[in-house]
Amino acid sequence: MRLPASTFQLRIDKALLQKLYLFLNRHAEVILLVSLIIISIFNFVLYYRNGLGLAYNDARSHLDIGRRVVEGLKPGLAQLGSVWLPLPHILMVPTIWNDFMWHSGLSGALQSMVSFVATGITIYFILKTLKVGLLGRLFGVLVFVANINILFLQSTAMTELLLLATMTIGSYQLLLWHQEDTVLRLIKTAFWIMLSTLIRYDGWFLFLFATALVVYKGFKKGGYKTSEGMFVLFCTLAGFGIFLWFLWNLLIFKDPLYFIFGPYSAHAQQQQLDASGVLQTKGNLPLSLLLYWLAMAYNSGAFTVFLGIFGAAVLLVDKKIPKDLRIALSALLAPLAFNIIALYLGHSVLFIQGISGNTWFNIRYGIMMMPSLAVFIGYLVHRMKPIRWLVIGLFLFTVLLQFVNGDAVTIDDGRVGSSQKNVTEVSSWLNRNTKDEKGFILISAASHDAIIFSSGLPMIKYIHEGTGAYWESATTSPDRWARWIIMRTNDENDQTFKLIKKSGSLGKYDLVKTYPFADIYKLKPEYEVNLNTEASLGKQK
Amino acid sequence: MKASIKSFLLSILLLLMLIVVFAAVVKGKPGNPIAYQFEKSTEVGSPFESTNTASRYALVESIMENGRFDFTIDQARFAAPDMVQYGDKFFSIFTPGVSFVTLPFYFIGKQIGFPQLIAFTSTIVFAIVNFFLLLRITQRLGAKKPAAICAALVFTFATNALPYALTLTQHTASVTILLLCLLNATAEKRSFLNNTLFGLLYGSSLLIDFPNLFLLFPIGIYILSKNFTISDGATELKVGLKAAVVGLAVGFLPLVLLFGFYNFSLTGSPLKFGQMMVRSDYFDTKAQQASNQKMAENQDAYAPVLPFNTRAQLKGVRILLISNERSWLYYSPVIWIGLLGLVTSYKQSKTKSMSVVLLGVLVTTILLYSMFGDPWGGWTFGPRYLIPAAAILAIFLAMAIERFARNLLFSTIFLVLSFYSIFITFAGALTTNSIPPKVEAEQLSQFIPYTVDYNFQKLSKNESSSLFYNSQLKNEISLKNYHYGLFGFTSFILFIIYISRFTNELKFRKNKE
Repeated sequence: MRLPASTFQLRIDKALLQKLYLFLNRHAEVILLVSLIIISIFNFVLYYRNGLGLAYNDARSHLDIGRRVVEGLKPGLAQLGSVWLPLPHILMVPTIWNDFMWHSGLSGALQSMVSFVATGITIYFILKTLKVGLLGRLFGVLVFVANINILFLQSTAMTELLLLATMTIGSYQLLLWHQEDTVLRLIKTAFWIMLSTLIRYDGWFLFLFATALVVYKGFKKGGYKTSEGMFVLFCTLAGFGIFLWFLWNLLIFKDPLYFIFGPYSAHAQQQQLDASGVLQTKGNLPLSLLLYWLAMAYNSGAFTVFLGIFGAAVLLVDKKIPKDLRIALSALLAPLAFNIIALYLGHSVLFIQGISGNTWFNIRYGIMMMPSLAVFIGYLVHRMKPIRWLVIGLFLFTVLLQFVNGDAVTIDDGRVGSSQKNVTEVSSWLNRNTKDEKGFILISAASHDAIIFSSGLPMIKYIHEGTGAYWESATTSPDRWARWIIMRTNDENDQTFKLIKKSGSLGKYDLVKTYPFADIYKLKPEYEVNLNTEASLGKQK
Repeated sequence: MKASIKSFLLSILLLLMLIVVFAAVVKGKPGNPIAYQFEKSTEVGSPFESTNTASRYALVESIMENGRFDFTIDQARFAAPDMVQYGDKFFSIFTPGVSFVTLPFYFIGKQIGFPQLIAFTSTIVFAIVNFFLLLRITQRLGAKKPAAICAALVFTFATNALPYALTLTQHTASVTILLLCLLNATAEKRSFLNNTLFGLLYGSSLLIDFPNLFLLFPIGIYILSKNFTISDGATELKVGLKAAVVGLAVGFLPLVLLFGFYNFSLTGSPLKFGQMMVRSDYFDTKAQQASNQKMAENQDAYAPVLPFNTRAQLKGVRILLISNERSWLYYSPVIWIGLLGLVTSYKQSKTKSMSVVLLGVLVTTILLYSMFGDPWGGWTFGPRYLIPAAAILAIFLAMAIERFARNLLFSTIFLVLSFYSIFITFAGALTTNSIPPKVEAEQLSQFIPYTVDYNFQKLSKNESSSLFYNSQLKNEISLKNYHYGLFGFTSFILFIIYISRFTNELKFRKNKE
């Protein structure tokens, strides 16, 4: 019996197909925007409901910093401090006054979510600028979006997504400037890079890198004079954030380098780690390369990194892309260079489980190359037509396995790594026992911001380093100001303990509870008579 | 002499050569008259040294002797730890395909008093079939006979395909199915018959080993796509699906149903099978059982749910591709030359689409097994999970030889790496496949090397697994010399065939002049 040649035939009107294609092409950005927003909101709700959105100790600290600007014993911009660059906290100010926005983490997550959408759209536009077809563009965005670590981080009050967005947009503007060569485009580039310099020090490196590219192009175009002019124009705006930060440190802390050498700086932390012998990458280039390579692979997926490297190589040698644009695209490699250099110089610390002991720490730094990898892979899919569907199929296969297994190293760091702090016991105790009783809690925010956040109590309940005269008074005469003291007894790194010990007033307190992260002391009843329970020092300068 | 007769004679010679070499390395030792036929010794170097062989053999025995799929207590102990317990039934953790195809061999063997020896011959038969399948495929893709034979020899004798052809594991049969699928895929037209054949092959791949479903997926997609027709008219696009596509399901379903029946008889569910269950610790010590219980109770809620974990990928790639424990780099470096052939094939329009399919299978295999929790494959010789990938690279190797054999540098590198790989491979085939992973070797009270050094140690101590050597030559020559002999013989054959390509070319040029 002969079977008919076809049992099923589909006839598609070519005009309709063409219309559909044009519609998709014309509205791709809008469809993409809506899709990214939906994905962003869905993931925030997911991580809010399972509590992982606030797992990171740093996320809680960021939220507390933002909250202290608007509420507390000494609210004001000075609460932005010097430990972290200020932009993420400034962006929280319009919303964090609301208790729900503070305690849900949404005030901080909101900027991550917006950044997630912005980065996705920017990847699309970068690929469009490189004349990549619709499939390649959408696939590039998919590579970025289909990453559990990205989806998790965009649901938190961490700074990674905001940094990624500003750096990626800055790199995109730089790419366009290389193409258009207009002053306005250069200003836009400078603006976005300036924003990145106010988020993390990765942005400062991008600033230097971009400056070098601008100078180089200027020199090629018109010699020394042209490059000098471009340098001044670019640096004035792009470097303005850095200038402001030095100025801020000078005005608030009387030392422009306070953010480097202050007691709560990353440098101070690094020194401690170096003294403990855990800063293994300092001065060790092979180890720095290895650890960052691993961090990238764990965050982005080993196969994705491999595809990205292949895509970058294809892009680098592709003569269809003008040389200028290929040079501009090197800005996408800035995060890679920065992180390796930072590890090598000992300015950054990264723990990989199995190599740096049995824990994770700062593993999320490896996510910084994700947008770049997405661009490279989108381009690869566009250029290598014969293996296009093979690459897409294999990528989807590994992503499916990743999602089914819930393989997210950033979540592990936040759950069980060194980036987490389960302070539930202390914070629950505080919430239960201090909420309805008047009086302040003396605590070091530098050491115990997670407790402050998790306790659910208003910021005004706490006397901490940023409360000015309250802190000075309470650490000198705690029995006058603090009904409760939270500190790690005998830990000289805990500022509260360090200063209380000097005051000799600890005898006036009962040790109420001892927990892994902190001890709780309560003022003995016989000393309550002199206790201040109101914020009576008035507005401080 | 007619070309067809020459070709036939050459095939016979190659077949004889294969039989001789396999006979020289097949596992066994003198007994009554041959050991291991009825006693289940799991000593190192024996046919049952590895439990993945023992488990499959136990299933063969269970079916033939007891008419059941589940094990008796003794069979379960023999198969442990590669067995699972479901209710009161013990059965193999593996899919039953390898055991099923071994059944007729076991039956024949039992009639003549050598059930184990003849049962294990099933894998050797597959290995020989693989050799000729490689010849066929590589020639179809454009390689001439000498290049095709060289590539087939490299795969058979210069990779760990040889030591695993002496076991009852899934690798050799998986390669057979893979190569048959590739041959099927190279058919010019998709007919109902060749679609059905592919369906049958795909179904049998599942029975042989579950991950084969993924490995063969690129071929499946390619074949499925060839069942579509697209005609581009002036105003409309016609997408047609051939009726013959039904053959894929017709071929696939019966074997899936067979698999479902097998599972159902053991677990009460057609979808529940051993490879997705936890190994039984029934025969472990009480302390170990208590420890396993505690681990299960304290398991992290965020632990991976599948045996293939993306987090393990980097480690897996390192182990499989570059480490001294298991990688191609140390065991069969010649196979890497296949990558050169991949590039060559990709650049030619005639072989471009097929090379993409082959690349898909290659990368899928490496990806999948690099994500496996145990990329070492237990106590093994070389990267056993990559044997199917080695077959793919062997195909590309034929293309590379075809293209570059005239180049002296290429020839030197190829031959040197081939000889090295053959030397290593025969060291494994003559002694043991059971090399521990480094992490386990370091815990042993008596250290065992975690590299091929272990095999060389055994060669020096005259500890062979070869039946022929143990029964006929042990008192005549040292194992080392026996090893050199086999190495020399195989390398010589490879060398002669390789240079015959040059002599053919010289003849061709002379005739031209």
